[in-house]
Amino acid sequence: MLKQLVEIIAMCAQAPDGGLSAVDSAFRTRIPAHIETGALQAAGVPLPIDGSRYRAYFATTKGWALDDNPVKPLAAPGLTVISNACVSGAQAVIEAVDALLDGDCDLAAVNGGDAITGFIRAGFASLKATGSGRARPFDRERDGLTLGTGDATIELRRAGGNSPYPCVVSYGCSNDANHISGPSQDGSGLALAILRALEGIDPREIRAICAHGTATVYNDAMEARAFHAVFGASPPPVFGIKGAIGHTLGAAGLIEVIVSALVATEGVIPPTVGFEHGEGEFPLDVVHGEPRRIEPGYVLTTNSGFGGMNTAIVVGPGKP
Amino acid sequence: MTARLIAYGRVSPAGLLSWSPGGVRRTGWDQLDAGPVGEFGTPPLRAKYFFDQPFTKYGRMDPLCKVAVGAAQLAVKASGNLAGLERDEIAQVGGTMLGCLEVDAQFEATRRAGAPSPALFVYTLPSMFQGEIAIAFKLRGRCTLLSTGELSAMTALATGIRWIERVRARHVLVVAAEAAGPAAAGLGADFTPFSAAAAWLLTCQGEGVGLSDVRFNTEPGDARQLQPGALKYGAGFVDTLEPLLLEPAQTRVHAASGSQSVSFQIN
Repeated sequence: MLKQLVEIIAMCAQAPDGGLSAVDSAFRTRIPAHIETGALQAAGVPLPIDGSRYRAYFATTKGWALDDNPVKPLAAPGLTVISNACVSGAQAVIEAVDALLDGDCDLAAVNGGDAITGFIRAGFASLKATGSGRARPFDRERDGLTLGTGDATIELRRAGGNSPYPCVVSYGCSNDANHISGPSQDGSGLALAILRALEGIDPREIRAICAHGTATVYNDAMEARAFHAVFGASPPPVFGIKGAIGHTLGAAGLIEVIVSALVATEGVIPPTVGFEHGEGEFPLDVVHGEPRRIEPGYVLTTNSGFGGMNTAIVVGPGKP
Repeated sequence: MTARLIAYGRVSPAGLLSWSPGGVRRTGWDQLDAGPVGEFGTPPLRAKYFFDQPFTKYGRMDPLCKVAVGAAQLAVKASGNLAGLERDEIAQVGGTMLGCLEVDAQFEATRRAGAPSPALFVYTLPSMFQGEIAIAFKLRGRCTLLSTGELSAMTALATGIRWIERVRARHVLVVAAEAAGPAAAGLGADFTPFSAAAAWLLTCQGEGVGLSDVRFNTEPGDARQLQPGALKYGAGFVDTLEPLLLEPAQTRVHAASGSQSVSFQIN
């Protein structure tokens, strides 16, 4: 029996450089891409009439800092800002799920995004984290991430138990407690988050994994270890979207929840743009080249970020 | 389930404070021979004010991390160094209004000078103080950082209480922190340098002040309405809440800012 906690009743995403189309083309249902950065209203999200029953979350790593003034406070009037590095989007979904389950609101909107400014580009370059070209998630010759501006919004509501919409089924979180800017070498932190998300779920029910897949050497190796630690020698098919749209920072986890919801519902995995050749030590079945059909069901999406943050969210299809 | 406050630490322009059910300890900056007030409203923070052992990394942290880690250490030490708590199960909730804008400004200056500093860039994320706390105390639980303006500290504390009430975490370290210096001076004419942090250690077990029945965005009703107090930005309400927690009163408290509010019961 499918679990359903919170239903995703609206979702849209935008990656202005057009990369989203490489992912979106795998699905029959298009991802509506018609929103402007930071604009809930433009996404068609109903705004509150009774503010006490509606909560709006904004997921971001750097707020609305733009090139002309990159130094701004984090807070934003009327919004709950969630800022947990590269897991911000996923973490905001988790906080919204909790608020709905606790009855703090009847409707929650989560918007996420970051403008990829000169500030951010210079920072990642200074860390030597950016690659020589388009990101190649999980490819053995990957050499770093590609940054991408993106924005996404989802609207959530408590599931009535028989929802026709894709649903958030469960989640787990952890901290590596290991290094301020690097992932744990052994993947144990992410594995802990996944195991917390899989509590009460048979791991064999996970049809696919939407990985964080930044295409940095260390992140992807860490994720491969974590997936093997949880699922054994044959983890479910893995895919990543950052080769198509880049790393959208505050929007990343949110866009990946949206894509996972489509995978869970339509039973088709988009190919991992940039992947050609896998690695040997902790091999993964990375979907690439063409979309792959699977049975609709649970999809796991994972994110990791600076400060040791890890999230794992299980998304499931609605009742047919 | 009721959350239990078992330890508390606070760093502010007034000095240091730590508390556990065994008692309260206040330490003025003059007692620490800390020297004059610096550009963040307190004397420059040093690891020796908080840690018994050398902690060289502390000196490399940004101002937000320094004040947050300092407050966390005061609470951790007051708890007997987390005695009896499984560190994999200690979650974190953080709150801040300004975030890391001071180190943002420092990094931006290096970028404009043509030599962007990777050492500064890693701190240009508001949640980095939670990463440093996780590393320092080996905490592997859930971690979230939120900002609700002047209500950030209260929202973070209420969220931590809620996590224990709903059995989402067995223990939660809540840390609210602000560091406002030269970069924040541009925010308004009434700016004064300021930094402060508070850390509340909550657990589902043992002795401590009971905290329960969290409500967000409700009318105050009969609750005691807190004023923002002397601590500013996201640390608002910390000092007006403090005496009610340390000499616990049977009361419901309510704090509001803009369109948002937080309320919970103290037992």
